Amino acid sequence: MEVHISDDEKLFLIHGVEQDIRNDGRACADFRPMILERGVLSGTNGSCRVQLGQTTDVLAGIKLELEAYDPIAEKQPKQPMSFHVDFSANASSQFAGKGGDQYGEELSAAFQVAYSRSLDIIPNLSKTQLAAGYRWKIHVDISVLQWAGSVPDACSLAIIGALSDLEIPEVDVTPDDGGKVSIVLKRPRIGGDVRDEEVPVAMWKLIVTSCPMLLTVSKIGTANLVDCSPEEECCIRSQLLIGVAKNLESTPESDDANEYDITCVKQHGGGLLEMESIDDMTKLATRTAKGLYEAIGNRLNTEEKRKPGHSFLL
Amino acid sequence: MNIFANIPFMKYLSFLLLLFTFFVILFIIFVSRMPTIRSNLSIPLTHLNRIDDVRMETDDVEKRSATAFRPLCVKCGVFGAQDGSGYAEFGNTRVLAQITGPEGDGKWEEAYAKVTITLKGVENETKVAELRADMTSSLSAVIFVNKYPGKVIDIEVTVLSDDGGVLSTAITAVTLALAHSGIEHMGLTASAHVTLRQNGDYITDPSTSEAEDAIGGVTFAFVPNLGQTTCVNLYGRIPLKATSPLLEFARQRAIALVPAIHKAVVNSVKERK
Amino acid sequence: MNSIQNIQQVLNLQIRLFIPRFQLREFLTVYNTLSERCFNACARDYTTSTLTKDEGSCVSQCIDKQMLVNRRFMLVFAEQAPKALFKQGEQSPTEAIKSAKPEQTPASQTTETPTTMSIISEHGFRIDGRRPAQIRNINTRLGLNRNAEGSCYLEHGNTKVLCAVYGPYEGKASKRLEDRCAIVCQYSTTTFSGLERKNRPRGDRKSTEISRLLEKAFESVILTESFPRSQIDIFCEVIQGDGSNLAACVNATSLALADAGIPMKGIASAATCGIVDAKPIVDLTSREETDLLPRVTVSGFSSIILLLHSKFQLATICGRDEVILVELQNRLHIDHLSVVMDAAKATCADVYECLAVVAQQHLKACAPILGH
Repeated sequence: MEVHISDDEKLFLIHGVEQDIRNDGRACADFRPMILERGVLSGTNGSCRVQLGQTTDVLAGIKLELEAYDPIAEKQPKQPMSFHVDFSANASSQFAGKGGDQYGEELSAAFQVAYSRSLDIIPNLSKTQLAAGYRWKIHVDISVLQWAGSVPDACSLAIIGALSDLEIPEVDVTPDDGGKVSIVLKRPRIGGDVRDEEVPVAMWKLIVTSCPMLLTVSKIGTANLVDCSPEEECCIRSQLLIGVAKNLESTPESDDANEYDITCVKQHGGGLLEMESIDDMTKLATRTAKGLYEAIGNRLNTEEKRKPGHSFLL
Repeated sequence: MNIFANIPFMKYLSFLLLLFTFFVILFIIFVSRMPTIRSNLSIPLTHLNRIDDVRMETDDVEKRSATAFRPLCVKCGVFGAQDGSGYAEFGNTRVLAQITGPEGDGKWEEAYAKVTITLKGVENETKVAELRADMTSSLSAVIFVNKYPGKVIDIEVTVLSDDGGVLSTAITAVTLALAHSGIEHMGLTASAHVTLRQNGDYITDPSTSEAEDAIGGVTFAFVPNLGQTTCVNLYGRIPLKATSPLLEFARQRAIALVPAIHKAVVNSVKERK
Repeated sequence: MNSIQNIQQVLNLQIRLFIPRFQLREFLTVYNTLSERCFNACARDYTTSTLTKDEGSCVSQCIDKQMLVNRRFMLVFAEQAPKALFKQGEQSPTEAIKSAKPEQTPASQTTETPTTMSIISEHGFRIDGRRPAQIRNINTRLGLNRNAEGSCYLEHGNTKVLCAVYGPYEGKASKRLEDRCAIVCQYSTTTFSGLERKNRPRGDRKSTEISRLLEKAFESVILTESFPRSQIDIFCEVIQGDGSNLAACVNATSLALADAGIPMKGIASAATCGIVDAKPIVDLTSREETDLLPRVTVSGFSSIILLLHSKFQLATICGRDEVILVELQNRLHIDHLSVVMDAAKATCADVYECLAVVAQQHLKACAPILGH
């Protein structure tokens, strides 16, 4: 969505945020109300839809794939997730054709960086490594259906939601002839004469309490803002994409500074920044992440299982 | 004997010796503060091919201190025919930047110049997208795009060989090319790549093999005469507490590069005269 | 040559003689065994030469029983013997006879392969429990995209489509037409929409083809002359594809256009139709679509996508229907074409009813805002 606002409107907005009051009544560190729904697509292994402020709308879907790789060529195990962000033309006519590709690629690359150490960060992600040469590949695809500011934030929430919704089948790995292995789905033993195919496959889920989040912190005037609306994005001097991950090993008594790891910082969209601002913006990002982790944790715990056949946009 | 009899010659000799010692002292001071600079730049044709597996001089760099750069070579203005060109080499990482423009292409009609970046020599698509995004962001911050309405500035970055720290090398090459082209911009950009080890040690400008055991790193670019950053690219997993010192260290390292870049620009101006 | 023919004649003669002799021996063996067994089982009184009454009934029962068993054996043997005798891949005698005169074999006979049963069960239901002429549930929501002039979310069962309409606005100079508005369609599918993950959401041959089809179809629906020198963008995103994607896109687009308030000749509706054993099935799921594919090569089997544009109820010519787009995939026997067309037309009329109700409801909901 293209927004055209005049210089006076911009000035009003900038003066407002410097007083910690934004045009929609929020403070600088506040998020817009958000909706998170999981299990919206039956055709995926895990899916999540996040709506931010009723206008930014992203949909994340995960497809699993059994991937064979060369264990000798890869000395260190690579993290199994790959990200792809696509800007649907529905969001804005400027994304038609190849219009959204560049921004999509940038964002995909940023998520790739933010999740590059996820084998260390997500406790049970290493379970996707099935045997030497075989692993589950987790394709996380995000489609931006509506665009009204702070897409990276919405995407990272959708990714966490989809990862928590993701069900990975348990498998039995047995050594086979010639150093190969055979991988068979694990089905729990059930008495009686139930046919094997009718027994549901055992599934496991990822622990998402420490998943990295990619947050945008923007500099408008002298103020740092999170979750900008399209009008605010017109006034941005410079923007940082900050990836924050919870450190599960830290003790709960320790202060905030120990509790979080930074996985990614990127200056985005041009503009100059003071050295001190980077520090302040990183701190704001961790503070915001703390609140978001709490909110998303509550939501994931309380969300009810969806009824089959429920359609999500209705 | 004849030689001893020649007193003026002896005087001359001792004077030379004195001068030499003076220079040596100066050089030592210089070396301790400044990065090693390779003189005599010429890019042999062989360097224009990609060098992939040769990780030479890794033994050398093992010996350098945490604050020292790899042997570097910067050059402002490589090709005379181009509108602007620059070359930067840190150890085995070599990047060439060429600028075409600003010129109108008949399509672009906005009131500011369009800056496009073409990357060559990097195969990984995700990496290309990331590099392009970071460099576009960094460059659009310094170039006065409003002064070239309806023009296109095309920057072609060729990565000749990659041995770690491509982004900082590329930013250095591009800033030299910009200086060479005479396109108006806010100032030269100095950029440094620094990684952090598990035990808290920093490594300045590491090669690929040196960066293997790092827990994270940052590429930091800033404009010295404004004192403001144009590019921050932090990756890996770094505790919140450690980020700010790491950034500060990277800034110090970038400042250390400034004289080298200045010198390259001055040399190119001298050559033109 | 003569000698060879002679030898053949002699051989034939021998075989003819041999077979009765062989049969006689078999018959005698059976007869002897039978009489011996029944005698042993039934004859108990050796004082008289004639059979007693009990013995007589026992013998006849015994013979009946033995003959019955014999006949059963013969039947099973007749069934199984050709299979055992003729190896796999070789033609059995009956098939060889059939293949010898193909012009007498009806085409429908060869289509009866086991997969037919998987599409329509013996009770006349499809895999998801629908009747052949039944469409899936249609759910819609209009006007959910705030940035677009008109938007629609539409579900055909598990097929979920999101459509946005931008414009009419002053578009690119290259696409501008002097007398009417240009229509630009883009069809894309999310990478996770199908069974297999796709690498690209758009730009491949198939989605470009569908984009062009949509463009052509809606150029004839929209009153393009009302907006000269302008452009209307139609973007369709398939969030989840489960068959009939194109039909769902057409339905979603016509609702989105209606939501945008763009003048049209009417609301276009579309349906996908396939044919199994000369019986049409409508609104195919992706399972059915894939089932159809391998079978087409064997038989005159096909799926047809027919897009029908029905007139508004208000129009005086409401009885007349206009076809705006027909797409045929795979091969179809010419006799089946009219059957499929009729079924698709009827389905389009059904879908149209649904869409019209949605549009009316949306209009009613908007009425207070509009001030009527």
